[in-house]
Amino acid sequence: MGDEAATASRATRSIEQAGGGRGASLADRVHAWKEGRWAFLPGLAPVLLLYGVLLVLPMLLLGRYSFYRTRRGTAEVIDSFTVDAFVRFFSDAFYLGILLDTMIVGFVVVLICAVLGYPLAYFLAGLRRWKAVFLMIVLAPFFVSQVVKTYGWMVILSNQGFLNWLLIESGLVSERLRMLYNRTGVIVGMVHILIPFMILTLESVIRQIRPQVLDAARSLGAREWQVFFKVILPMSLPGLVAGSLLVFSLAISIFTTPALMGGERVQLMSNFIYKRAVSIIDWPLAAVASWVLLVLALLTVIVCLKVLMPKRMRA
Amino acid sequence: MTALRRVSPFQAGFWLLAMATLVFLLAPIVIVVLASFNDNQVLSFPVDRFSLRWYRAVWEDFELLESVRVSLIVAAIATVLALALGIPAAFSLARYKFPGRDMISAFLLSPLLIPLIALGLAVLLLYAAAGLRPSLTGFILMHVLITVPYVIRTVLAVLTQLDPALEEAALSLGADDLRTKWLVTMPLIRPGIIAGGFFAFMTSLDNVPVSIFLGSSRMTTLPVRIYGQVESYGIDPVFAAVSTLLIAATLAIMIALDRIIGLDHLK
Repeated sequence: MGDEAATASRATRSIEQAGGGRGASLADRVHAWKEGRWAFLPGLAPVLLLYGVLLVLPMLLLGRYSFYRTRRGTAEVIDSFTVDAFVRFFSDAFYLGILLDTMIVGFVVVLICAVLGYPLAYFLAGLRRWKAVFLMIVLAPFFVSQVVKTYGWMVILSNQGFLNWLLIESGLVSERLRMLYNRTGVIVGMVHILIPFMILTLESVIRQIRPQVLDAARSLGAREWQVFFKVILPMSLPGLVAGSLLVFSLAISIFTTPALMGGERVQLMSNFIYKRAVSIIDWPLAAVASWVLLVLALLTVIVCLKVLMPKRMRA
Repeated sequence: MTALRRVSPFQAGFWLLAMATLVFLLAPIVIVVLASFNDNQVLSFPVDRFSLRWYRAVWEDFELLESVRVSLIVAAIATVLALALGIPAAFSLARYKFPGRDMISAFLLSPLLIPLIALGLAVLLLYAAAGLRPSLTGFILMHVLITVPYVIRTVLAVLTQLDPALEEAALSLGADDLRTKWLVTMPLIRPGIIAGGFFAFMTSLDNVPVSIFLGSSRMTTLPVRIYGQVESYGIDPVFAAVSTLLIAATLAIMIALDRIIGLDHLK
């Protein structure tokens, strides 16, 4: 036994030396006993092949289509290389309005998610005994199918729905409110779908704030609201920013909820793309709109990763 | 002994808001379950007569059941394939240093960031260009693409947190590479694999914006079927029953997972 342990520790030492000592990363150290320059390839080749055929190829095609032109008044695509579809998108107030609406709805959703999500995240972060139960309550809606959640909100917000019944029975309103098939409904549904992302991001940051820091603030005479605004909030700001950017990038891309809850009145980028793809067929314009949405979503995430997140939080 | 501290109005407000958010999170789920037992022909409140008629209606809706079958087949096979492709990929990314590793890693996770409707449209164009017809294979392969990033992400996370000493010990004690992977590494990263598989399965089962371009009127997945019906005919109570069944299944899987790996791995 003793011999084996000695051998093992010697082996570990020699690996450490080969891999550049204690400071070397796991990958370096393990690499020390892996042979071959292309040894990483077999593990990656199948997945890269899949991505090549089903991601890169279609996206290239999407790029090509955005430079096509449609024959006036028809869905027919003319083989050409023109910026016609870009000009059409960026010179039309109606299309730009959809883009603006998408961003406004995104901002409002982020704002509501932050205001509603923060207290719950704070509450979760401080829990010990009942944590599993409350985590379940937060995670269950997260994993329930988006169509189901959207349908649930339609049941609550429709004219004959639960909320209208509640409001009328309690005498708060005399006429049924219109809450579905307009922007209010879409925002409520989107907040519900995206708020878990905000809560979980915030919770992981708030949990790292040591309670001693808060006690220090209190013992120095800070009131509870001061502790929150001067200590907790600034310390959790990276999480709030990261959560907000994540929610924004998801909010502008989300399809099912605005498509079902918005009806004919609310048109956001994703639903616009779908419509131009299948009902009012205009593939070049749909392709341009897809690129606009894609660039916007990726920019949001890149800003989140590169600029606003401190180094230690990247991973 | 709990010391009673005076609660400031600010704290009370904060706590109330947290509870309100919890209610908000649960509201549509609870209401759907309630509505599914309502006997009324049109969905309305209050629920005055209890009935199981909508569940019978689900059972008799063959098109709906067919979409459930398609969904389950696609999700199950896509999850298995996503694990089969994702786990080796995560190993390669975690264990080897090669030029462009970070870029490949970002590329492999990119389907998580791309607006799926754009990807759906791109695939529609591919189908049109190649003259492909809707098929189960097309469904499965596209679902592997949108689910494999979840597997790579979770498995990569557990792999990079693994203490290398454990594998080194096995290797130095004479186990070969494969044996070490199977007997030491795999059991250690099992929570990541299970969590990744769960994410993959649920994502496949949930997807609309890509699936909507892949199916036909005869063959489609459950969420696309619900989407189409609700979009055309409004809130038919039969979908409250379907939703309740889906909610029950989701909860059952989550409780099982909590027992096996703990909910912390699902965050």
